[in-house]
Parts: sequence; structure tokens; C-alpha cells
Amino acid sequence: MSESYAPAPILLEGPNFSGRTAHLRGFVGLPPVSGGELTQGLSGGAFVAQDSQNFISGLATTGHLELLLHGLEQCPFREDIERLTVQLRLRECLDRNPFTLSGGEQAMLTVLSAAAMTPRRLALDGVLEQLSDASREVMLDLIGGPLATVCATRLADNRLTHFPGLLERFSLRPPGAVPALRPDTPWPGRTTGKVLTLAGIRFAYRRGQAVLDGIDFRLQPGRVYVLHGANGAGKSTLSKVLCGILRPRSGELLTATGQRVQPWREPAGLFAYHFQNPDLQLFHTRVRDELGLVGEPSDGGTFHLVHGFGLESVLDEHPLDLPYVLRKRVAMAATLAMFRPWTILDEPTLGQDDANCLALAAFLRRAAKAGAGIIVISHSRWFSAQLDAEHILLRGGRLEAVVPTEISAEKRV
Amino acid sequence: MASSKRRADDHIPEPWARGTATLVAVIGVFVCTDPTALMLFWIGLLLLLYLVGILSLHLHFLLFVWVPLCLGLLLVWGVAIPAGNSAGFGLGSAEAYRTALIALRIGAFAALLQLCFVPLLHRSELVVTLTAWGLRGSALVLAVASMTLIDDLRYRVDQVMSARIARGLAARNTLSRVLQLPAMLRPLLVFVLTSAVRRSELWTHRGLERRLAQIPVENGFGSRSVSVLILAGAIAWLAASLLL
Repeated sequence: MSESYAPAPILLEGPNFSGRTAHLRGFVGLPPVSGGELTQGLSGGAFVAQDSQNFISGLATTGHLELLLHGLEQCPFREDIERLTVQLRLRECLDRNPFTLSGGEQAMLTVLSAAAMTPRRLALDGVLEQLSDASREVMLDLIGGPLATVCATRLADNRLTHFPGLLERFSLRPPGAVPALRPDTPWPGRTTGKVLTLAGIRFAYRRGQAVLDGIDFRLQPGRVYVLHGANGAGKSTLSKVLCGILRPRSGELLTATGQRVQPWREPAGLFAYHFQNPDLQLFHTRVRDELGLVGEPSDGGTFHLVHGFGLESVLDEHPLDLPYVLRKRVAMAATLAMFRPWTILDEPTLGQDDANCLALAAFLRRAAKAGAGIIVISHSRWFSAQLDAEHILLRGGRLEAVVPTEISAEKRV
Repeated sequence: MASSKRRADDHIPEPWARGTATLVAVIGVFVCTDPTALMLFWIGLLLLLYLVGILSLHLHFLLFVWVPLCLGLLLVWGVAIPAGNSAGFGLGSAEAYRTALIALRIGAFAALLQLCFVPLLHRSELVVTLTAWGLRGSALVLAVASMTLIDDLRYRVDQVMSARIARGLAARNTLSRVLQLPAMLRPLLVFVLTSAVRRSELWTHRGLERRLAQIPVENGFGSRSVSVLILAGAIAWLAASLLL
């Protein structure tokens, strides 16, 4: 690939482990993996990856200061960035500590910070995957518009493959056999979901600022639910309430027989929750221990997951030594291996290529058919369309069932 | 942006006055031997903390750090070294005086530091102030980074705890959270080490050390009259503590 500066953004396409990340890091003068020597003469570049909280400087106590630190005042398209903060509803977040923002908000802030640097080369590795379609379009307008006049941008993004954009595309070939998700994996759980009714669930982190404002909804097992909502709408908060990490200020959960359930008294009893960021939910020194495995893989619940998620070859590795794609899979498999009646997967496709997404969708459909309760939080309309799911939208702190035409119109691959 | 416009109207001291006044007042706290004077000075600081809007933070410090520390002092001087007799609890006047003096000094010292640094934490003037105090290069980066560290660590601890609860490894109650501490150390240690590597790469690659010293602030940052006022107050306090 030519190393000359190109004004048009280039999208790198290819499956997992095809070398996109190493290419992008090299493009901006970084070593292939973190911790090596920086390439001389290629300073002035910026790289942001999907673990966006690792690209917050830690030198600024507010989002506004983070932008100033990256040179917003001198940026030739400062007004564009300020306009985007309004469009992306990021303005209110700029007075908060960047580490306290939601995953999507952090992703937006890190991209805007990198843009504010006015780098000569910008590499975005999957960071836009965490954004809603509307937010991603706004970001692409910046990347293809004012930023393109001063900066060469390259992106690796599994979701942009299905995004009709103006990007030039360049395909990388896979370097050989790599562990992949297997689409024929059966759901190994013996537990089935339970009918649950959410009645008037309210939650606020601060008094008077309701995030969940009276959630009324009935969850039926045996189907996949996809939870939609803008970045910062409260999807993760709702998941934490259901899982029992947070206690709602009011409202209740009822079973089919009208029995009251209080997840905060027994967290993780009904719902298993896979977080968006896998890194802080991996606690053990071996993948095997993370999954609760004893002995060698053979027939059995968790062993199906090991096979299905392509983890046989890494069972004795330290989970945090694995690349992001596999860390995400280990964390997901560990959550599913809890075999709770309901499983919530927050952005399960982050970092996964198309083939892996399709395999995951097939697995989740099969799990739902077997009676498991599955809730997926995803900004990928393409992935959502593969799930045969019921779509629910979190808007204004309330939940409603929707049949978005743009989702139902997506064709199955 | 809107928030930076708002800052121009604030009445905050200039960096040199903030540093000098804090230094002078801290010396006053440590040379003062009159508990009553210290108590009055501390009450004055509480008023200032209230006016600046960070009194609750100081009360938080008192509850979780100062009170346990004072109880420890009472135990050491009241039980371990009983006054006048070889056994039993009994504070002598000398021990009571020492306990009160040290407790008041710690409280006033903490209030002074909070008054000096906390109002700057969420503002671009923090860097200007530290630069005006002579911090440059890596020392400046280290100072600024250390001030964001507590928020960062608190957030990570919360994330790890939430993830452990979600995995069914911990309950929500306080006792369970306390018992989780050993298990949380490993992921937090890994986080500290990996983020150190990643951040050093980020800072070097983006030239953030150089950029940090260039963070702009509004023109006319710092009020001269406020500077003179707080410096006069600090000198008066030092004089009073030397004379009393």
C-alpha cells in the first residue's frame, strides 16, 4: 500500500487477524503492538482503537480540557468540532470527567480529541463501531469533510462494511488459519428464561435527573430482544438495574405468577450481564479459570461454548494477553457460561468481523429457540437484522417495542 | 466554549498569590501552638470552603480520614501511654493538648490544601498555576496526572466491582465489597501496569507533554485584588500564630 498522503479516507476491510490494527498503527508511526519503539519521523499522527478509554489522556479532568489539551484552540476546524459536540449531544458531557462517560461518549470524545490535534495521519481502529448510525454519520462527515483537507485518514471498522459511504476501500487478506466463532454451536444451557414484567422502573444517578423514567415492559423468553437507543440513553444503566448492580428508585419486577423479584438482593441471579468493555471483567490468570472449566474440553455445557467461540487454543493463556477480539469473546463466553435465565450482551460484536457476527447471530437465535432469554445491546443495524429479534427502543427514559422499517428492510445474508 | 467564557468572570487569585498564601498559611498552621487560635482559623477556612462550594468535600475528608485519625491518636495517648498511671484510660492535660493541637493542625492543613487545589481541578487554570510555580516538562505532566488519578482509579474500582457483581462473585452490601478487596487488587494492578504502558505511548506519540504547557486560558486570569486580600490574610495569620 502506498504511504503517500491521500485526502480521501480509506477503509481497510478484512477479517479478524488480517493485520488491520498493525497496519493502522504502522501508518501513524506506532509499533505493531503497544510498548515498542515509536517510528522516528512519523510524529503528528493519531491512533484511536475500540478500547477508547485507553485513548483518554488522563491529563484532563473534564472533556472540555481534553479537547483543549489536544489543541482545539488552534484547530482550523474548531467551529466544526464545536458544532459536532452539539449535534452529538456531547456538550453536557464536556464538563464531566472523561472516565465517567458512557462507552459511546468516550468513543466520540477520543475521536474528536484526535481530530482537534489536526494530525497529518489519523487511524481509527473500530472506534466508530460503538456509535449509533446517526452519530457515526456525523463523524464520517467530519472525517470526509474538513479533516480530509489536512489529514490522511485510514479506518478499520467492521460495521462500515455495511454502511453506504464515500470511503475508498482496501482489502487485506487473512494471514492464515485464525480461531473463529463457529456458527453450528448449539446452546448448551439447561436453564430456560422466565417471563418477567418490568413495572414502573425508575432510576437516577442524581436526584431530578432520571435516566430510567418509568420502564414498563414484558420480557418473554424464547426470543432475542435488541435494545436500541442513542449513546448515553441509559441502555447500560437499565442492564445494571436488571442485573442487580443498581437498585431502582422505584418500580418492580414481577414473574408470570405475579411474584416480586428483587435482583439487587441477589445480583446476577436472574440476569447475566456481559459488559461492553471486556478488560475489567476478566479476573483470572487463565482463560480456563475465567470460564470455570475443570479438566479438558469434552461434551458438556461450557465446553460447547469453548468450541463455539474458538477458544480451545487459548485456554491456558492469560486473558489479558489476548488481542481485543479474543478478550471480547472470552468475556462473552464467561458470561454465557453462567447459564442464567436471561443474558444481556452489551455490544457483543465489537471487534468481530462479519463471519464472526453471523456465527454469533446464529448461536443467539438457537439459544432463544432453546428457551433462553437473550437481550442484545447493539448499534449495528446489520447485526440486529440477523437476529430475528424483537426490537425495543429506550427513549426519554422509557422503553417501547418498535419495528424500525430500516431494520426490517435489511436483508439477511 | 461556553464554560471557558464563564470563567473570565470568576474572582480567583493569581497563581503566585495562591501558592505564596498557601505556603505562608501552612507555616502558620505548624508554628501555631494555641488550639483556640487554630480552631478559629479553621472555622474561617470552613467558611471559605463553603463560599467556594467544596465544603461537602472537606466534610467527607473529616468523616473518613480525620475522625478515624483522631480516634487513633486518642487511643495511642489515652490507652497505650496512659497519663500519670501505668494502666487504664486517662488523658492527661499534656496528652489532651497534644492530641487537640495535632488534630486541629491536620484539619486546617487539609482545608488549606483543598482550598488551594480543588477549585482548580476542573479548569484549564490548573496547568497555568502549576507552570507559574515552576513545574515544567515531566514534572508538570506528573503533577497534573496525579490530580486526575483519584477520579480515574475510583471509576476503575467501580467498574471492576460492578463486573464482579454481574458475574455473581460479589454482593452489593458493604461487607461483601470490603471482602472483595484482595480479589480486586489483581485486575487493578494489571490495569495500572497496562495503562502506564499505553499512556506513556499515547503521551509520547501525541506530544501531550508539549501540548499540556500550551493549554490556553482566558486573558486576565486571576484577580489582583483577590490576590492581595488572600496574601494579606495569610500573613496576618502567620503573624498571629507567631505572637500567640
